[in-house]
Amino acid sequence: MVRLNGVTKIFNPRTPDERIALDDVTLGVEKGEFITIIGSNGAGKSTLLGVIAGSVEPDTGTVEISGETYNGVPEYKRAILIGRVFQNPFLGTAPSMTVEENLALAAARGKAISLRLGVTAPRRESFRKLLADLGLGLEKRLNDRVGLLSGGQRQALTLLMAVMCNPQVLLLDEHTAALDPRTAEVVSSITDDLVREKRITTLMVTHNLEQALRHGNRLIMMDRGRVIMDVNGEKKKRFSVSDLLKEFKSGHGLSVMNDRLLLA
Amino acid sequence: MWLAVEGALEQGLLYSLVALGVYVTFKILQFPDLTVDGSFPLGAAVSARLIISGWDPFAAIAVSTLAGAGAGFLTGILHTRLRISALLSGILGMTALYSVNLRVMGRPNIALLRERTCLVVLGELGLPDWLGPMLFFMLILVVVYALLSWFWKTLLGLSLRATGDNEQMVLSYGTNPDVTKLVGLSLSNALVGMAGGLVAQYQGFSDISMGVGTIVVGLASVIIGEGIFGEKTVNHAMVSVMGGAVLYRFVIAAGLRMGLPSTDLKLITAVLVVAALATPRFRSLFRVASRTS
Repeated sequence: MVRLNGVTKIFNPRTPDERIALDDVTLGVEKGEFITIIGSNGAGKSTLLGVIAGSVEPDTGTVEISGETYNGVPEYKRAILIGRVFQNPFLGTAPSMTVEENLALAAARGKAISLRLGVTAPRRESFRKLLADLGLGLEKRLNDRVGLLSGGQRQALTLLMAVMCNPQVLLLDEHTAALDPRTAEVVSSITDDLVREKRITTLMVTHNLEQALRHGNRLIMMDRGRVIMDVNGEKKKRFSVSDLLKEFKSGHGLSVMNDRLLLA
Repeated sequence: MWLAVEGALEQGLLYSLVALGVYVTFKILQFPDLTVDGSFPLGAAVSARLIISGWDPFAAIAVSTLAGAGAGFLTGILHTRLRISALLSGILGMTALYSVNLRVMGRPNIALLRERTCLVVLGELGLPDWLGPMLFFMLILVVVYALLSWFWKTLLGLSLRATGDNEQMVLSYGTNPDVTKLVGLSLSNALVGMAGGLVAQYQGFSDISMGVGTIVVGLASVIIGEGIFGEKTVNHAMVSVMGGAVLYRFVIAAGLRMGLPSTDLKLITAVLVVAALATPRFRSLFRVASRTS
């Protein structure tokens, strides 16, 4: 479904701020896989998602989605294939527009340069149903500005919008990290439901080891721009947080052992 | 007295178009576009030139509108293709338009006193002098308002609003924000160009310097209107902004009646905008003061 071949990305090359974000990464993602990605700050997790989404252009290597090479294709042109949710709840929705207007834009993914009306009666009905399934009471707030919603509600709405047009790939970049623990739990379980129901190939970056183990069927650990661990299936199911920590220590030094990971 | 009220109302209606144009860029797109200082006199120049060449005055307004759209589009190209900052793109557009306007007119000003303008045509319909222009301007505003109000609900209109709100979201849902910016800038300057054409025909002349401060007048209307009448929805905000434009004209007319020289008008406008912008800050300062006392 997604294939990265020898992808390297260096930020600020040949300056004192030079940072190798991705170091010759080769990764194949099968259709229907739900991959969780862990690693310390600066390990290259977000850059990896950015390279797939098209917001980051790799220096070398190729990016393939559904067998086609997407190097050089701008982000907005890949958007038909890719749903994306960021850590910041403000990046996924337009705050001054209403809930139904936001949903209308998501439903028109890739076809929004048009003078058709965004919200029609049948579409409003389908929005209402989709929102009711979230169980957050948003179906009663179709005409509220999104800016009035809480962070968790916005993030749940963003998730719904991201999977609306059945994208080939869903990219989640620590999308629960900015939420309080209980809301994060709700958004996590909505994520699981949507991904399972729609069978979308998903890559989820997280700082929370426990979350990384509980979700998905494959787990990748990154460090300094490289994939240093890759487990799936039964082996992943048997993994525990302490196994992960052992893995960190044994192979790859202490750079991955930052406070945020340990305490997560 | 009645004459002053009538004049203020008519001008307020005309400048409502400018206010709507400025609202589209400043508020919807969050793009501080200064092109309007050039596209307003461009609309006037185009109308004046066409009318003295024997064109139909209503067709001349249509061409003024298109010319304004073209000006906005070019500023948009500077910003989206050449990646020049929003502010500088507008300044460059406005500066270039000064020369363009001189070329369009062929001289610094054109008088339309004995020409067949829209108002002359309206006068021939037999309506009273005070009523004809007012009805005509209101009709234009109602049509423009209805069209904009519909446009904001279309997918393109929604994308445009989202661009000002959250550009990343527009990208994420497969629309190139450069396209929506170009559409927004063209739309805004089309409204301003139309206003320029109408004002030239209304006042009976076009002058190369009549665009100076258009942006401030437009901003004043937007800020005063939204501040006083509110901005709950786009439609609500559009009505407020038009109300702001009319109110602004009444303030100016009152100032003139109190004996202020017309050369002070720009200063009064600037002070008005500063006062409107500073009000929330003063209010919060006042609140803090009253809490601590």
